Amino acid sequence: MAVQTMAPRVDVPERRDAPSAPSETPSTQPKISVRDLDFFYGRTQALHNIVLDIPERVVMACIGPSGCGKSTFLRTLNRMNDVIPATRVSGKVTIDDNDIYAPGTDVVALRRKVGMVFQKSNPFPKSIFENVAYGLRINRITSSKNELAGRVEQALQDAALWNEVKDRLKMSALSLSGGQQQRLCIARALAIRPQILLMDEPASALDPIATSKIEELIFDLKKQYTIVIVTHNMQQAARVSDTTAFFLLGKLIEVNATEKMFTAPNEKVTEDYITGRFG
Amino acid sequence: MDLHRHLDDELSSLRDRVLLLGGEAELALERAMYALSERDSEVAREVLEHDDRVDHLEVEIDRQCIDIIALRQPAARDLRFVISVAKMAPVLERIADHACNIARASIDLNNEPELKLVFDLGKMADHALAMLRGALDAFTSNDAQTAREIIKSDTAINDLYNHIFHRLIELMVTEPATATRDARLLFVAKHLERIGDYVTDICELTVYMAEAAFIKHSN
Repeated sequence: MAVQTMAPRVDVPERRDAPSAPSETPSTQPKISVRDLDFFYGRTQALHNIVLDIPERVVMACIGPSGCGKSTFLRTLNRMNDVIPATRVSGKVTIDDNDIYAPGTDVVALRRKVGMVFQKSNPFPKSIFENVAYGLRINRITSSKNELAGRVEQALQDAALWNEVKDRLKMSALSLSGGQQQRLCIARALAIRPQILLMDEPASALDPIATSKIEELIFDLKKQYTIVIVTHNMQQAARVSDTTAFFLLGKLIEVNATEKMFTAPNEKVTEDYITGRFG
Repeated sequence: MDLHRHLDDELSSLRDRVLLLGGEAELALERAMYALSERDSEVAREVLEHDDRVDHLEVEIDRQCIDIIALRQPAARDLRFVISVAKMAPVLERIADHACNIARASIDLNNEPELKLVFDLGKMADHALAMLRGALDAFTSNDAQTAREIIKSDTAINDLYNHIFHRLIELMVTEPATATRDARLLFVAKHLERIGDYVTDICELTVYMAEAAFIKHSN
C-alpha cells in the first residue's frame, strides 16, 4: 500500500508587511511543493526523502551545517543540478502544481520563472545597463528600446540600486562595490520577472552595511516573490525569513515558523544546532 | 575553548547570580518577619541596610543579560533563559523591597504594644516564603510542573490576606485606639500578598523558560 507523505505542517506567521489589497493576498496553495525528494551525486545520496511545502510570497531560510544538503536542495528547485554530471533525482517538485521534473519540461522557461542569486556576485564584464538587459535580450522579452530601458530601470529600482547607478548606467558593472554588484545580480534576476528567487548565501561575502541592504531588499521583495535563501548566518535567517528549514546530513529535520524555530524549536537536534551546541 | 562552552559558563554564572538574588530576597523577608514577630528592631535595621546589596545584584544581572544578548545572541532555550532571568531579577528585587517595607513597619510597631494578629501574619509570611523557595527551586531545575503548582497555591495567600483584612477592619471599629497599629499591620499583610503575586510572576517565567509557553494572564 502506498503511503501518502504529508509535508510538515508549518504555521506561517502573519506577514510582517501583509499587503492590504486583496489581489496581493498570498494563496493558501503552496507555491512550491516537494515530495519524497532524493538526490544523488553518483552513489552518494545528498538528499533523503525531503517533504516540504513553501507558501507563496514568503521567505524561507534553509539552515544547517556545511554539507547538509541545503544548497543542493536549493538547486533542485530550478534544476540547476542538471548541469552536474552523474547526478540523479527522484521524487517530485511541483511549482504551481506543475511537476518541474516531468519529461518535456522546458528548463529554460523554468529558470525564467525561478531566478537565482549566488554567493559570489557574478556580473558580466559589461555595462551596468547591459547586465540587467542581458536576460531580456536573449529571451526577446522586450520589443522596443524604450521598453527595454523601462524594464532595466524597474529591475534596478526593485533591487534598490537605481538611485546609486542611474547616472552611470554605461559604466562597467565591475566598477561597482561588492554589495552593489550583488544587488546588480539581483536586478538581473528580477528583470525577467521571475516568480521565485533562490538565494545561495547572497550576503556571505559582504560587509555588514552591504549585508543590511541585501536583507532590506529581501524584506521588500517578498511582497512580490517567493524567496528561498540558504544562509550560514543564523541571525540573518532569523531577521529575513518567515519560515526556516533545518537540514542535517541530507535530511530535513524541522521546518517551522522562524519565530518558533529560534525561540522554541520542536527538535532537540535543531535546538542544539541553533544554540551552537551541535557536534 | 569552544564558543558554546564560553556561553554555558556565562549562563551558569547568570543562574548563580539570580539564585543569589533570590536567596537575598528570601533572607530579607525571613528577617523582616522575625523583626516583626520578635519585636527586634535591630534586625529590621539590618534588613534595610542590606538592601543596597540586593539593588547592586539586580543591576549586575541586568548588565550580564544585556551583554549576553548583545555579544552571544542566544537562541531557543538559551534565549528563553536569559529573557526569563532579565525579567525575574527586578521581580526578586521588588520582593526584597517589600521585605524592607515590612522591616520599616516593624520598627514603628515595635515601639507600641503588641497586637495578637501578628501571629496570622506569620502564617502568611511562612506561606509566601515557602512559595518563594519553591519557585527558586523550580527555576533551578527548569521544572514547569512545580512552577504551575506554586502558582495555584497563591490563592491560599490571598485567602489569608482577606481573612486578616476583615479582622483588622473589625478591630479598627471595635477598638479605635489600635487603629494606627491595625493600619500598619494591614500594610504588612498587603506586602505579603503582593509578594505572593511576585512569586507567581517568577513561576510564570519558569514555565516560559522550560516550555516556551506564555501563561501570564491566561487564568
